[in-house]
This record gives sequence, C-alpha cells and structure tokens, in this order.
Amino acid sequence: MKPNRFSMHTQPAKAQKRWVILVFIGIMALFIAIGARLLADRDEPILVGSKPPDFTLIDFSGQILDTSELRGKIVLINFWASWCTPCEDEADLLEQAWQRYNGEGSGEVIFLGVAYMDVETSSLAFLSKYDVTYPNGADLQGKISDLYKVTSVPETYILDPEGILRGVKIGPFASTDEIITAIEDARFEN
Amino acid sequence: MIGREHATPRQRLLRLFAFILAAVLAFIPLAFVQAQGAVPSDDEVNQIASQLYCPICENVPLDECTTEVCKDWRDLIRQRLAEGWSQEEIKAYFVDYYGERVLGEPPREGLHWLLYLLPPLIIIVGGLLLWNKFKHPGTVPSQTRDPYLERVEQDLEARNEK
Repeated sequence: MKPNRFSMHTQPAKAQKRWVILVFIGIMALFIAIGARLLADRDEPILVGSKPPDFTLIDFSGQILDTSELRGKIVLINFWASWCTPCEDEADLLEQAWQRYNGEGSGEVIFLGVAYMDVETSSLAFLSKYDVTYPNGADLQGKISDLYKVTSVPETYILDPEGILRGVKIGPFASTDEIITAIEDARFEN
Repeated sequence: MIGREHATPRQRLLRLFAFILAAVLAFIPLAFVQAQGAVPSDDEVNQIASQLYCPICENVPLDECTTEVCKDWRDLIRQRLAEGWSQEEIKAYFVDYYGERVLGEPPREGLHWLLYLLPPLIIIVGGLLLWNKFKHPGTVPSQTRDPYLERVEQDLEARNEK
C-alpha cells in the first residue's frame, strides 16, 4: 500500500509553519527589546528643570560625597579632563569662584569636579598645577558622565538646593562673573 | 677520560678559563633581556592597546589613536607593564576605571552572551529550515489546497484501501 504524496506531508508542513512563526515572533521580540533599550540609552541631554539622578563621587583624597546628602545646598558639578585644553583656561576661574563662596563660610554652595576619562596621575598633576582646592574625583567607569549625558568636556551643571537642574554650561566659562551669575540664577530660581 | 688524566696543570687552567668565559658569555644576553623587560617596548604596549578602545574618539583602537588622552593611556599601560602587571590585570584595571566601553569586544558574561550565541543560532535555525524545505520540496500546506485536490486525495485513499 503506497501513501499518496498529498497526505504524506500535511501534518509536518503544519508543524513546520508553526515553528517558523514562533521563530519569527521570537526574533521580532528580540529586536523590539534591543530597540527599546537603545532608545532608553540614547544621548539626549538632561533638561533644565528636571531632577538628575544622584551619584556618589569618591574624591582623590578618598572622601565619599553623595549628592543626595547635599540637599539644601547649591551644587556645581564640573566635568573636566587634564587632556582638555579649554579646561585649563576654566580651572583658574572655577577656583576663584569657589574661593569666593568658600570664603563666605556659609557652606551654601558646593563645587564638585569630576575628572572625565582621565589618568589619575595626570588629573592630580592638573589639580596641583591650578591649585584647585574644591573636591575632585574620577568618574569611575564613566557612570557619572553617563547620568548627565556628557558628550565633551568641559561641561558644568548647577543643581538648586532641591537637587533640580537649574543651569547647564557646555564648554568653558569665560569669566568668574559668568560662574557667579549662573550660581546666583540657580539660587534665585529656587 | 684518558685525555683528562693526561691534561697538564696549564691545560686544566685553560679549560677552567674557557668554562668561565663561556658561562659569562652565555649570561650576557639573558641579562640584556632582563634589562629590556624593565622598560616595555612599544610592541608590548601596543599589543594590549590594540585590545582597548578610546572612549573619546569612538571606534579607534588605542594603539592607532593619536590624541593626548590615548597617549596618556599608552603611558599608563607601559607603566603597569614595567611594574610587572599581566595583560589581563591591565585590561581589568581599565574596565574598572573607565568601564566596559574601552574593551574591543564585549565581555563573555551576562546578557553579552546573546551577542555571541544569537548569530550562530539564527544561522543554524535558518539552515535547518532551508534543509527541511529542500528535503520536502513538494510539501503543500493543507490550507492552500483546493477542493479538487481534496477530492482526488480521497479517491486515491479509497482506491488504496481496496
């Protein structure tokens, strides 16, 4: 008894089609998941008025600074690198502005320097060369710059006492007055 | 053995001198190599640098990058090599300090395994489907068959049963 060619493959063909559909759905689901992840990770700048995530900075002396513990203060976060020429021009201006607020002794304004993709010995030499006295630390694994979507250096972000972003400066400040104005604007907007 | 028994004191002295000279000459290249090990060569540095990527100038391996930051990083590799660090230790240091973005290829762990497993898996599954298709070229899905073929099939089955 010979089976005819029509009845022979009907069931396997159905099963095969089911598998093809399942594999197709699986691959599409994977691509959608990857796309969603890429969309979430895209480098859109954080907006003024938003509340950036808190982070922890271990400064070069080993002190741990957590931005969540700095509520009630204006926090200036400056991303820099020793290999960045504009950062050299800005370093002195930032230190002068810091001296002004630090001299007041109120502790209302905090400066944090974040060394971006830098070699530690070069960072320390840079800080020493420009006599920078406010806390500075390395951006370990690029986590802080990822949070702030930093694309170049220098970049500066100013948070108000509630941790809301009030000012962004892409590129170097031109003068100490510009830095002070940005800080005072943050204070005023709060 | 006989020759040694007949050697004069002068010959023995000459042999001793030759032995010492040979030993000294043999150790000179070794000492030279050890001295070189203290200052890693560019090739040794670039061997590691080629496996790391500059995060500032994307898609440029560290050994080909000409920026100041890459120069600093190569100097750091040289310094670590001189301190006796292994290649893996240096790479681990860079990952700890700068993140996985510096690696030339994703680490084989966690979700990264998908990158290594999925492409061959898709090729294998695709190959199996193609193989199955070619093995049964006459397969006709039941939904596409027309009523006439159904009728013919029923007639054939009835005939076979007879």
